[in-house]
Amino acid sequence: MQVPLGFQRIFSSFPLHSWPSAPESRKPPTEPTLWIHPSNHVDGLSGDVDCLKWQAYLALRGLKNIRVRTDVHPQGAIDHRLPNLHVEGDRLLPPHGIPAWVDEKLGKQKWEGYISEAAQDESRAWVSLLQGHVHAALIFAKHPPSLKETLLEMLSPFPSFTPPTANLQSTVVPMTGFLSLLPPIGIRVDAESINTEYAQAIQALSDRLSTDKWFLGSE
Amino acid sequence: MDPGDSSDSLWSIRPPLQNSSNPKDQEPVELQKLRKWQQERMAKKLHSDYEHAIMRLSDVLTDNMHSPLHIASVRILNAKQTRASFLEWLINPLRPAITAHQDVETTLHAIQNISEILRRSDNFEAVVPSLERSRDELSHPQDVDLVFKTIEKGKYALKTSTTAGQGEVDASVNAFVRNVFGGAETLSLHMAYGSTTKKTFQGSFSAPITPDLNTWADLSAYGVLKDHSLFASCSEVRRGVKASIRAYIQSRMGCLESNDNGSDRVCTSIRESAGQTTKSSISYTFLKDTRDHPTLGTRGYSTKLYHELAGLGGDASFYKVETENHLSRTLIPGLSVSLSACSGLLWSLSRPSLFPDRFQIGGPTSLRSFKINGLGPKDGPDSLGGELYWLAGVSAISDIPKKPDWPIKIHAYLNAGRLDVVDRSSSVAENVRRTITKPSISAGVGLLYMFDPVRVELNFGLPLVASQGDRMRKGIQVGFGLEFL
Repeated sequence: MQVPLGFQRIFSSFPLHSWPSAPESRKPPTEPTLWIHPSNHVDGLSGDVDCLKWQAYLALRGLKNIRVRTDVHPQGAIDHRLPNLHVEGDRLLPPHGIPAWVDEKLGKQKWEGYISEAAQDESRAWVSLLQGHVHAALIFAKHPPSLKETLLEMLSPFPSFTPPTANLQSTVVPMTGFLSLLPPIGIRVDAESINTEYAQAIQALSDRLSTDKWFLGSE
Repeated sequence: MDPGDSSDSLWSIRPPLQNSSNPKDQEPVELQKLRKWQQERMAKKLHSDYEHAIMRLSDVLTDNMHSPLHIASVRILNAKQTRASFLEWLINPLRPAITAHQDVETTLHAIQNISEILRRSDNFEAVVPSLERSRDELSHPQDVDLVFKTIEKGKYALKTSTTAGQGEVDASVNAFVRNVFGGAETLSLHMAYGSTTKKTFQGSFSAPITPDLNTWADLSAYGVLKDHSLFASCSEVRRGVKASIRAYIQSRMGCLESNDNGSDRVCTSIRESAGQTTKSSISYTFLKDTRDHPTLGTRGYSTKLYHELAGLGGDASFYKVETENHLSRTLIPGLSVSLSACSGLLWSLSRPSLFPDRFQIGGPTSLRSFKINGLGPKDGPDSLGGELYWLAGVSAISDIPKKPDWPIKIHAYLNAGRLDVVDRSSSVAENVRRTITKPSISAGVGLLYMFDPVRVELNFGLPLVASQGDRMRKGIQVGFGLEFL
């Protein structure tokens, strides 16, 4: 229901006086900051596969002065997934928005820095293999939640705070079945086939890289 | 009539039919008046006989108040579910000492006090006291037994309800076990689903720890899911265990999850606050309320002071103090005025304050003509909460002319307040001065309806002074709740 015009005129006069906004205690960062999962190591590299991948991407694209931050919970990230990139203008970018920001920063590079278009195409094929078999195996290899954690999560009436990828880690056999009162949980994955595909992918990549110093001859 | 026509006369209907709808149709008016007068006279006589008997009884008691009477024993009948040791614990402090002088007066006081404490234990539906001659064979003529015939309340109860209060509506189920171990302990389980507080679960166990039943120990576990998307683009889950005896020690597991319906909506501050935090704290609350009505008082005052110290363990570390004060006065019959003043300070100790612990103000039950939690520091569309606030309000409530008994009243208000963060580079006095000198102010009129115990307001108001970023509500605003500014 729209407010009548007469009331709108009256309302537009109010408030009669305005103060400046209440001051914020938080100050936006001055440099781009990558929000990542923490790691046990002191070298600043994340212990999470996805976060480490994007750290490597930013480094290989030649970007410097990128700070990292490990104190943000995944629940605060876009789509509840780290990494996120916090850039100037107080903007927060999801992982798929990072390449566009990098291109904006560096300008369009010919063949993305590769020495030839063929090298660029071949690298894309290898990257797709890495993001498929190798990525799956690395996620699967992370420590799965215990049976107690799984049961508590199932029985709790409140939303859980387990990262979305934890569902893929369920190597604990769920106690469910046709005769069980418990609803089915988790995802059953074939560990052997994942490990086999991982081993084949790594072997193939190793054979291709051979003694190359940089990835497929990129500069 | 012929003898041969007997069957016909039995079944035949002869006109005119007798009209039996009102047997007093033809009764003389004077006889009706006489009957009525006689009934009134009998009622008056019974009433005066009753009053006369009461007066005689009270005269007998008054004349014999100091006659010696000694309580030999106290017997509670039909209290099968209540432990005898618990009843002794309750009653022994109320019995006159053996060496003290006992008479009719002390015995009557003892009867009154024991009846009162039995009712307050909430174990009994009815308590009927009586005096009997002592059954002990060695008793004196002045020895009496106090006998209390009781009817115990049911042990189990289940209740479903829909409640409205503090700007939200919820549906709840309560299961209640009374007198769990025979000592007036209670075990309650509460589950609710609401509009703002989406889910609430609470299980609590209470037991009295003093014989006067003024002090209780509570142990409870709770979980609450709150939707803050109206003002902060997130939801909050609190899970905790609480033990209280007036001052309480609380351990809380709290989780803050951002609601992400679109990557641009949620501000960075809320995202940075997301995650799981824990708090352990001690708090103390002092409350005194002398108002004649908790939500629509016309005389009296109430004052509440709350302290909390967190940092015994966990992520939260602060000292919080908060006060609420209300004063009500009747100016002329039918017109009352209410003054309110509230303020709070959250002083972080070793870590910055967390979103769940900060203050939020604004809304139809707080600073009117502003949206719920619409004041204070913001980051984009989200209210971040503050660490220092004050609120003041004056309301005039009047009966509708010529309709003083209606539950609808006329209401006019003037509210002011502000919410800020504490600037650590300045002193507390400087922070307070800065907060007081830049208030947000609103005024309006409206109607008020008492839907006991909830108060419902329908106001038309406007913000007179506001800070940039305050979310205002111009025009009509509806509020319902138990506490108003």
